[in-house]
Amino acid sequence: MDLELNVRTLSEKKAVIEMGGRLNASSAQMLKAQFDELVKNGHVELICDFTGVGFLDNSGLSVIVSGLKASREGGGWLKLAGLNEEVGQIFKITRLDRVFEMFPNVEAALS
Amino acid sequence: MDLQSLLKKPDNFTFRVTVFRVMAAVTLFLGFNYIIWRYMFSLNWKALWFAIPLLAAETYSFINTVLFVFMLWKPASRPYPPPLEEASVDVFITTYNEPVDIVRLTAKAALAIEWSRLKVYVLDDGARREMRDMAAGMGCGYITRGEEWSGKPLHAKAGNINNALMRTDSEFILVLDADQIPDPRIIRRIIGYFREPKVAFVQTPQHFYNLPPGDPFGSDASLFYGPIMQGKDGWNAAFFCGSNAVLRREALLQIGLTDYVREMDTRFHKSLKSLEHTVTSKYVSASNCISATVLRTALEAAHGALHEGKPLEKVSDIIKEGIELARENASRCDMVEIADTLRHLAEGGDTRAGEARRHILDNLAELARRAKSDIRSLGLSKEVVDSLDLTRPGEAQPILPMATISITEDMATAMRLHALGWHSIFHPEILAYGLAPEDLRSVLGQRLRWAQGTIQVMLRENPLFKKGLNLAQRVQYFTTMYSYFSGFSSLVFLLSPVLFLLTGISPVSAWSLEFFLRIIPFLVINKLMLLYVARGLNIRRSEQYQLSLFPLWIRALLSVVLGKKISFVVTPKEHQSGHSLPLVWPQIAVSVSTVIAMLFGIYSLARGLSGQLLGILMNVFWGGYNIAMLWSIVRAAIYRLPKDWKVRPPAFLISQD
Repeated sequence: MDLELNVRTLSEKKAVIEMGGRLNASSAQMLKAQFDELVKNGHVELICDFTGVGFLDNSGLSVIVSGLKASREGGGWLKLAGLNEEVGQIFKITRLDRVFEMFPNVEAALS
Repeated sequence: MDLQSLLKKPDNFTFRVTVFRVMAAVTLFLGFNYIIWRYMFSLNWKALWFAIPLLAAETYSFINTVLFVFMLWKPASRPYPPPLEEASVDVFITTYNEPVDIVRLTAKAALAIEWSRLKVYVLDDGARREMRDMAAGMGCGYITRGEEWSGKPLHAKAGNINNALMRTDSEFILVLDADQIPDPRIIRRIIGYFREPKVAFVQTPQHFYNLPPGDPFGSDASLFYGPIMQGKDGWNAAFFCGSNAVLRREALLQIGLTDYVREMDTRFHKSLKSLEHTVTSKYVSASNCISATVLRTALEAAHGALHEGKPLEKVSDIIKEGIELARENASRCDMVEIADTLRHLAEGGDTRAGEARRHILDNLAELARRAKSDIRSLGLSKEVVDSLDLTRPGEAQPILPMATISITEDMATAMRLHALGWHSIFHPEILAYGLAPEDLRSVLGQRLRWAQGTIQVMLRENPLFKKGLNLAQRVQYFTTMYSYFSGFSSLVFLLSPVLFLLTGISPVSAWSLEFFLRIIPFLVINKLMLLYVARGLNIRRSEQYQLSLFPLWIRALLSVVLGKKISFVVTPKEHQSGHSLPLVWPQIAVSVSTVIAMLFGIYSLARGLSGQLLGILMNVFWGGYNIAMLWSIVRAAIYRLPKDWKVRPPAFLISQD
């Protein structure tokens, strides 16, 4: 499996999605299903923890944007945390860093 | 020569290109010589109303020739690459209302494609149970729109593919129209091009196996899927044509993401401006003044955040918090006003009013928070506030990889890919076989959609100004768009001999020897060049249709320019019954007028009523040529398929049974 996911629920609305591995075309659907599930259950304030993500491509980015749409439409938000330099660069190239709030780690995102 | 033979690289490729360039250079020289002379010395100043339209039409056609030459100047030629064995491929068979049997044939062939990492999906925009059953029975995936599309724009075929892109995962996508039967070798033959990481898509020709004898409807697009696409490929501007192409998922998603960020950025700043305008100009009442101050503070904070490079999501939250606070404030002011009214009543002895007033004042903050004023009472529109959401609230999906700005999504998508620096390839080998429309009504509907879609792209994302395209790519896209403006010039060419023969008024100063010595060599070399490029292909039908479809080209242009609603219409793959003659009444009217004018011209010559012998002879010849061209479409309108004629599917498909 390219991607490992672990969800930490912090409150009725808030959850952290801890990711590890490669977020690419073949694993993006897994994250999409996770977003759908969380938002369906009322968890609309989401933090994606990229600490363990070593690779990200446009398929992965597209799913993150879908997650943003789902959480915003549910009245919440989506923040990104723990992006390494390489992954952060992908956001910069596509100018998605103009859209998302990014934090060095989950604690900073929560504060 | 058929298209398959034509597409094989000739041994003398370099020699052929050189000969073409020599012919092209002579054509351009003679054409330039003619058109300059026309401008300088041949205008009939006594009939400018006639002379100028004809000269404009001739200029349009000459520019078309120049663009054509440029397009074919350096055709691509490259060896077939070995396959990229580890690539994974999803096959998308797009359908809306085509019969299940047609899709089954395509699905069966798709499942027989010789590739190990392959998944086949039927993308059914008709959401039909029988299609779902067929797909399941054959072992194909079945994808239709989800709930998120309910009440949102569907974007026809582009939306169908975008929906599937978000539900599948292979690196490459082979797009097939419902009727396009793929050759089993299709992936093996073209996947190797993607070894070059900048290649976004590879397009193969569209070839039809149901063309009736003589191709009465002009569906054979061999000139386009041969020399023209090879020429465009030479400039790294081969088009994606909607089917029979393999695309790289990463490239598609990149244009989707780029478009998303660009649109969010634009919409966000537009909303910000609109909010500022509202705050500074619309607030008049006292309560609104307080809200305005709150909003102004929020906007200042937002500007500060933007200046510090904070992301739009953060800035959006700052403004939204400001709006919420302003709504709360407005509500609080309203409550105070109500309390004031109640005070007057209480002073008049109304004890219940006094109690209500006390309740309001004691719980003012809580009441204001719970019953916030409507955003419209602050002078804000829902659209402006929604634009701060960064989620494309009006769309089902935030990322739209296939361009949705036009009903010809393929061209617009290819242009966006080229603008981002991606490369394209035209693979000159027939690897899919489809069905052409079998009646004139369907043909006209299809051509109208192509024309409208192309003009839509030109108006919305004009290649001449689109950032990222190189000059040659701009010209390639513009050439195709320009060709759809031919309706007006065709009309002028069709009516000119009629006008001259009936009235004797000439658009040129004289039908002199000099005129003929300039125009005839140009027309002859131009024709020879075209025949040389076509290498034996029968291109007469496409020439006939280009001229004969003048009403359709004019209609397409006017409908887009005048902003009429244009919708995607699926081209029927089966014969549609009904009379087609009324569809070609303009062509019949022009033909009849031309015949009358020709007879009148000959009559006046015979009776010595006109002294313009050369002029009348030339215009009679010209009128005859026009009638021969128009006859093609009139004939198509009354055409009936031969009784003994049968559609012959490609041999490899039959051999699978």
